[in-house]
Amino acid sequence: MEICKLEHIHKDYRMGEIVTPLKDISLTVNKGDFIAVEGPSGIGKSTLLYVMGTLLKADEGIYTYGGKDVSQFNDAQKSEFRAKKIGFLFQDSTMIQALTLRENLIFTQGVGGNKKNLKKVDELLYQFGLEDRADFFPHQLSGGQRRRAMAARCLIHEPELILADEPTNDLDEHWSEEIIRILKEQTTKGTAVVMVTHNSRWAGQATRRLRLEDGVLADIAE
Amino acid sequence: MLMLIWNNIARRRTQSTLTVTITALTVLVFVMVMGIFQTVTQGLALSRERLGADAILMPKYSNAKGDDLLFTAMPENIYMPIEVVEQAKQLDGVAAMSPQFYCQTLALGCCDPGEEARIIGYDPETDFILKPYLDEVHQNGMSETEVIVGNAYEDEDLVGMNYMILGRIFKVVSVLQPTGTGMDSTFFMDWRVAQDMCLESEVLRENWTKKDPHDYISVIMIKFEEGVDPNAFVRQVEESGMECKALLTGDTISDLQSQLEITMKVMFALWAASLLIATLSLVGRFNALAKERKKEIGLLRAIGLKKGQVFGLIIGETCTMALMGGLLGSAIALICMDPVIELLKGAFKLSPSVWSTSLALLCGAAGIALAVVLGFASAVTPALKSASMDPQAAITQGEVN
Repeated sequence: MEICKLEHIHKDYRMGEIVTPLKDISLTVNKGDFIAVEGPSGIGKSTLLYVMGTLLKADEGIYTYGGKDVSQFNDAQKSEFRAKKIGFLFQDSTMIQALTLRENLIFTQGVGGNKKNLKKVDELLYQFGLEDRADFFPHQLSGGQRRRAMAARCLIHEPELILADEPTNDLDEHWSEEIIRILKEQTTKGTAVVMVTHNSRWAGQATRRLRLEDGVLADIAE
Repeated sequence: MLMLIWNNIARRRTQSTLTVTITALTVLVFVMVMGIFQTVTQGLALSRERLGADAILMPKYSNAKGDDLLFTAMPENIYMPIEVVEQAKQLDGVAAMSPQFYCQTLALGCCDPGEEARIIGYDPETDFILKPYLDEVHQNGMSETEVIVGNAYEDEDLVGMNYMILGRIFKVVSVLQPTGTGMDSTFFMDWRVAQDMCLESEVLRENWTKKDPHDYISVIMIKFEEGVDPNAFVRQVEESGMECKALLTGDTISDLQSQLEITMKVMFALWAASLLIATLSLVGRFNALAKERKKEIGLLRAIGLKKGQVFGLIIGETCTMALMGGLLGSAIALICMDPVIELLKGAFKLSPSVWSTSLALLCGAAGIALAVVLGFASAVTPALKSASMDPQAAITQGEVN
């Protein structure tokens, strides 16, 4: 069952010269998909996730989500869409600095009028091995702990689509495997995951592997 | 959202303390300037309203100044012959006149005023200055052992208490309403009693070895008839050859008022400059804060906060800090007002009215309102900028831009 569809998405950056990370992107994401997008650094993989998460508007093409043209959404509709449907796992470890880890999760859960579920917060903290760090502030966590915290935050509102940008950054072997396992587990519940990585080992865990090159997505043959 | 606002304030202590302090200092200065201005202005209006006399006749060669006579309770031992009263009756345009006799207390012992203070002996038969403030029993005068005290001694419970003045024990029969003038720090008694006391007191007696105080008065309070030209009255006194000169109370008050207005304008200008500095410094601070938290704001937008919510978050934070600064600044200013007004009274012969609860509430509320407006005005541009930031750019560029 289709969640979202990108058709002929084109995106330019004007930074003195014109850079075109997304030239002609077409992609359909279905429920339970685990898609890995590979490619060298700076090729535009993150840009693709930003477009899919409505943080960036495509210059051309159509992006539909649940059959609705997302590019026609106004700012408030996009915000609500992100709050309810999208789970971001950014490349950088960004968290709300004035809130503890638990408060970060509770706050994110409540955005967009979602119901607060403290049991879910505790479950996620336990799942990511952070139960003893729940009352720590972001600056008191190590890089790996912050990455796990961000993964927990990404799942706290049970999104339909997870956009994970290099999710294993800063993580040791054990927690890299664990994060990939947890993301995979989400797909069994119907959540779709689009993961950007340049690590072929983790990409190999996906059900579909794509390569972004010259602004175009291509399937990687098994 | 409220949780985030509060935590952003409480957990960024250094930043928040700085913002609250800047706001508190600005409000502190504002409330004090406003409080002093209001008190002095009201005091002058009150003086004009309650003084009762349009002019004062005082000894021709006296060096006493009008503002000393009106606005301070400085003891002034000035005297002119009692015949002046009869001569003054011949002046045109006088609706009422009442002589007064000045002497002073000396610091004595228990139950005395504790410091030198002015005693005014007034003539109950002709008085029109005190009469409006006296109860029915004392409308026609007081006994030899009764005294009225000014409002500077302010406690209503004084009525019925005894005061020892120049060796005599007096019973307080009334406390005057505040006038904002030297009347507030003065003891009033029958003028004949005051004259008697000049002979009874060992110290004051030295001034009266060759003269009888009963033959002298200090000043004559004059009330004009309707339509009298005050300057023409002054000329009339000059040309009469009397042993006195006329002092227009309105002029004295107006002179003082214009001096005070200039002083207050300078104070307001300095305060406006400090407000400008505070505003610029807060704008700078909030801009820096918004830049510092650019990545975080990008994150908030990414997890679904709307532009309006980001704007509300920043404005909520700044206005809360401003409110705290406003409360703190107003509270400190209100605590400091009493000693400051006392200081000004002593230094500038001012005649402030009473620093009342209602005036304190008005100034405090104005200070708090100013703080919130200051906080909002300083934060509105950074908040708008932050709210309208492209979330992707905010996340990827962070604090670089």
